[in-house]
Amino acid sequence: MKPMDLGAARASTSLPAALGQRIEPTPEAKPLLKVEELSLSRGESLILDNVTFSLRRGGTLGLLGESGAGKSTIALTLIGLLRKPEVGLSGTIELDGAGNVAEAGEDAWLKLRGRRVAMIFQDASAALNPCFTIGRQLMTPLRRVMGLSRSAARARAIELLESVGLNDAPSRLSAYPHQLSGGMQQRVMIAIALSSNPDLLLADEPTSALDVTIQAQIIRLILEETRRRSSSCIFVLHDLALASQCCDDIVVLYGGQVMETGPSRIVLEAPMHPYTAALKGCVLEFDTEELKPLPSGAPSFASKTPGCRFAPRCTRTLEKCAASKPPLADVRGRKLACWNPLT
Amino acid sequence: MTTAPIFRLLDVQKAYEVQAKGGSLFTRAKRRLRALDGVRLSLEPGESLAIVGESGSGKTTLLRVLLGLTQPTDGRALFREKDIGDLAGTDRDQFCREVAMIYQDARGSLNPRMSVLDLVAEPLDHHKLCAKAERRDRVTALLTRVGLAPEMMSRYVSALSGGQLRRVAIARALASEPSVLVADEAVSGLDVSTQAQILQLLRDLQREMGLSLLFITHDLGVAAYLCDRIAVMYLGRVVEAGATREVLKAPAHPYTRALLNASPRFFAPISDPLPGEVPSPIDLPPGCRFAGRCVRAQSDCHTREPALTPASPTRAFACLHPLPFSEPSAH
Repeated sequence: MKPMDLGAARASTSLPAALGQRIEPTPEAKPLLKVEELSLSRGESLILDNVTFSLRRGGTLGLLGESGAGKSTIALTLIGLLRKPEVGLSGTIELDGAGNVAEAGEDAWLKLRGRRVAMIFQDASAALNPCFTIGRQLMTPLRRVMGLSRSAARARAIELLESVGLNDAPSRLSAYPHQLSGGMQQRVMIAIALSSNPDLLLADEPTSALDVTIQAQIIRLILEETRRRSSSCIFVLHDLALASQCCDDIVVLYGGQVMETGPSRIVLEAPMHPYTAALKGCVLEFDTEELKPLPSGAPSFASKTPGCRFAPRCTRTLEKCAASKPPLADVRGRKLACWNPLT
Repeated sequence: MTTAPIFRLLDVQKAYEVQAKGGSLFTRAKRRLRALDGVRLSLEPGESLAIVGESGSGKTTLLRVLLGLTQPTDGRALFREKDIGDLAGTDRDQFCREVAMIYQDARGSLNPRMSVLDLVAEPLDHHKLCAKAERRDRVTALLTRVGLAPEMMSRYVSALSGGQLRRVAIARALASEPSVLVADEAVSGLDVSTQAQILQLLRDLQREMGLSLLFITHDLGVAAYLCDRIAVMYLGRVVEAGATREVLKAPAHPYTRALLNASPRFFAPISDPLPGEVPSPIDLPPGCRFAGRCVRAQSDCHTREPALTPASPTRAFACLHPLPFSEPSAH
């Protein structure tokens, strides 16, 4: 069954201004999330190497990079699905009000996961359980996490489905995931993630399997909902153009190391790291005549590699690039880790 | 070499019978799902054509018709002026040799039990294109052409990365010395950096070998980079066709405009998304299929169905109230 969804247009036009407008960062004292020198190791491999970034309340942050950059690993660490002692973890993850969650155990995470931090997974059709109805999957967290009664949970579930733009919400509760289209499944996932009003929403490539028109709907929906709740969102993305549209700040990762980070407008308009510039050079615009692809290659995660992990693929390598790792330093409105940056 | 088009689709229709819900097994009404409805397209030698549309627009059915895997229920699908379904004997062999396919799921399309050497050599063996002794050299040349080291020959699919797999699939497609490459979403699901490499390779191959290219994609940026001409499909119909640059610069059909607006662009505010989703192709309402989602729809759009009409030698669209397309439309 392919569902009809002609009327699913949300009252999105009622939003006062274009979503492109950024809320100016207020000089707030305490960020919602502060990740400092986070390293994650598995055996001999160092998967994340001294990752540092922070996210203010109400802000959006994009984790960018090719596959294998450690984007999803960071997301899984932030929701406590990759924890000690399964992996070696050092550094701190300060979640406002919860302390250093890098040290938290499963008991502590059970109180945080879903309530403070929620996640929208990449593949909605795999993340939703095919054996249970949408209603059951949506109402279970409402009853268990939020402690609502059966009837209250049902009412809230309908409300949530309506807020993510699913028409005919009451009858959707008894539908199974396979009866919904990909876009609708993604909306259900967003509704589940939002059901407990999290402060921090992690969206791991939420639209990579969807058509562009549905992608625009979903990204807009996530931005509207997080803004309305003044919660924050971390997007895991590989599309730089999309990141420039929906993220206030970005972190460009390669092989688990932060290459360049800062406000997306500054970093993406004039990248200083050769890797950011190379990624930008791969993005197709409608008037792109020539592409300048990066040479092939994959990062080495061997923990003993001393230098910059991007050096083997870099066109601007100096001798010291392989010998020592460049520190993340403040340069022209951003943080940059490169010995030989573009100017 | 003739100058006749390689592929020509004349009002091709492909309808499937589906069972309606309700009623008993025997009284249940059959309904028709028109996956393709009056598609008219041609592919000239040396030309590159992009077929663009969302899921459910009929791109894959179109591809199946072109490859002769599905018979159209109405209209004609021609390869070098002969019906694809009726090809037999040497015509059929020639068709199989000349039309090479690159599948969307490269990993799934390659046999995991065969080495890269055997995978790439399979078309050579099948069409008896070279002697046994030459086989290795031909494969080496093909692998080098697509940017793979000859040492890859002994590897198996499981030991290759996503980008390498696509290259093997391309080498395999080139092995039969085709005149037309048909690619279904050949770069989807890749990192931007790998995607850029594969796109560059495909464009170089197309230009250097004078291949025709039929590229199915949902990404307008890919279409613009790779293809001279574009055909935008919606619910089994071509709604706009023409020279890629012209169409993307100033689309006439509101659907093309909507696709363009929804494509991510640096620092552009996220556009007002197109409402709803592609409706079910069963029991379509009368009139224009896009009317239900169209911001420019007027009352006649719901009663009269627009036909694909040429507006200039390089442009055609199916819309009763098109956007101004002679000059770049304001954005």
